Amino acid sequence: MDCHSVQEQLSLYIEGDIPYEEKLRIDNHLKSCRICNESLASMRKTIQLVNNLEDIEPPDWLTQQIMGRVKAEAKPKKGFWKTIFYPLHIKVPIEAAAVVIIAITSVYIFKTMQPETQFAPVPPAEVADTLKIQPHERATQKDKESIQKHITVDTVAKEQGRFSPPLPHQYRAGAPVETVRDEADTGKPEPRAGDLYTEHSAEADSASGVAEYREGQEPSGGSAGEGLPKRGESSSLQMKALPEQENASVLLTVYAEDTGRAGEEIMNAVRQFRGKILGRQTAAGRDMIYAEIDCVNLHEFIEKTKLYGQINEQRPVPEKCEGSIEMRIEISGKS
Amino acid sequence: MKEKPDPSDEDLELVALCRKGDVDAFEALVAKYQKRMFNIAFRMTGNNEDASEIVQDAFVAVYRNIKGFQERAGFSTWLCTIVLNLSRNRLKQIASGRTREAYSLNDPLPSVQGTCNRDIASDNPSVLDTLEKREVQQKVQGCIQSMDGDYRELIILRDVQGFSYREISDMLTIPEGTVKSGLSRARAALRDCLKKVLGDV
Repeated sequence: MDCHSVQEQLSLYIEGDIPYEEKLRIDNHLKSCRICNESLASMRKTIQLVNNLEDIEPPDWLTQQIMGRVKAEAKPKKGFWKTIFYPLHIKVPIEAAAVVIIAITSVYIFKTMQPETQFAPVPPAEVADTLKIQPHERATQKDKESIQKHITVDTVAKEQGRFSPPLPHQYRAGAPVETVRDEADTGKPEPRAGDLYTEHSAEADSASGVAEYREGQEPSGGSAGEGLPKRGESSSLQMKALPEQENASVLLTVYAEDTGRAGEEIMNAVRQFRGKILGRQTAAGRDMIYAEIDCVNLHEFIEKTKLYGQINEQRPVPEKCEGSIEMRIEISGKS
Repeated sequence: MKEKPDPSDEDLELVALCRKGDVDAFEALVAKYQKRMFNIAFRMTGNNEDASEIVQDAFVAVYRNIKGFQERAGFSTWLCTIVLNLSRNRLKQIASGRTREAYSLNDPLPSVQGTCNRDIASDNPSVLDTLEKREVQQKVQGCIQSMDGDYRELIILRDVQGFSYREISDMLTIPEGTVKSGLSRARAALRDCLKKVLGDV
């Protein structure tokens, strides 16, 4: 065994971490080799020197420092708001999100507000259109009604679209349309000086079925026309016709065998749908019911009416309406 | 040779408590291991400040990652691995900051109490006996620091801290056989250095 291989194994030899046979061979070699003995001694001394290195005391503050940092790590989890708002990398997204939300909200609010802000500068094309069409429609429809001597139901349309505007020369640009409509709806408009449109609507209402019925007169297109001059507030013939057109939303004729009973049933139906009976008129074998019903229930009500007799819609029942709608229902003997 | 670290049940109990957020349990672990870790870091860097920072960073890192700690390896082994890694990084930083000068016998030795001049050993062996114990220790430390990184770690872990081959193999993720052969060469290198520094070993 040569010195080189022995010296390579001295480290393990000292630690005793070597097979027994190997140890014997090294022992044998060491007996006769001075160099290797010196190497062994110096190796032992080296290890001993290193082993004897004394531990160095860490600074006193080390534990405190470590625990301070560790507790700082642990703490933020407890402070909810701090966790969210304190660190910059979280704060920025929150701010960005806030800005986006505010922007969206503003746009939304602006959009929802728009119709109102555009309200004042009126005469909308829609009104102008209606103005052109109205006279015709009115005439034909009115003629028909009077000729047939069927019901004349006038209902106040709550929808803007169905509302007939005043004649062009009477219409005042810039007049608040909303107000006019509201007053027409209530049926109790307060005539305002200078507001021709409103006045006419008011007259129209009172001139139409409801008012007449209360007076015990037979409601008809003609009577509506008569009402106006009495009050001396309108001079235009065309104006007389207006109200009927605009008010009549539901004109129904129900042909029933037993008119009396059908009348009762329909009255019940109106109440059932939380409608309001405005009046009832029986004359010359005809039964007229004036009622107001919530638009929500309108179609259901009409379906129900069909149970009592054959129905003739004098005017197509509006698909859509808002609020409540007035009806004039005539119950007629079988046609 | 120092006591072997015992990856005892106590450690694992404390670790379990730490995972539940018990800061006191962590403080117990700090108290138990900080001195040893500080010494490893000091032997690696030869510098008090560096060692303090490394130990702090190591414990904070342990606290952050304690939930991911696998009990397969002992807690102290895990902690040591972290300290060694941080020490290596610190040494790399230092090396890139300033070029390390070659070890010279006349260089002032870095020490805890500042620097001191190196005594050149004479041929007279009795001189060794007259040297202050601390000076010898400083020279040994000087030699340890002058060694290659791998050798230095092996000497520190085995001969200074007394870890078992198995533990060292875990920490350095090298086979035990490699630990043994590496250690032989490391010791020979250290012996050569000490011979130069102390004159005779």
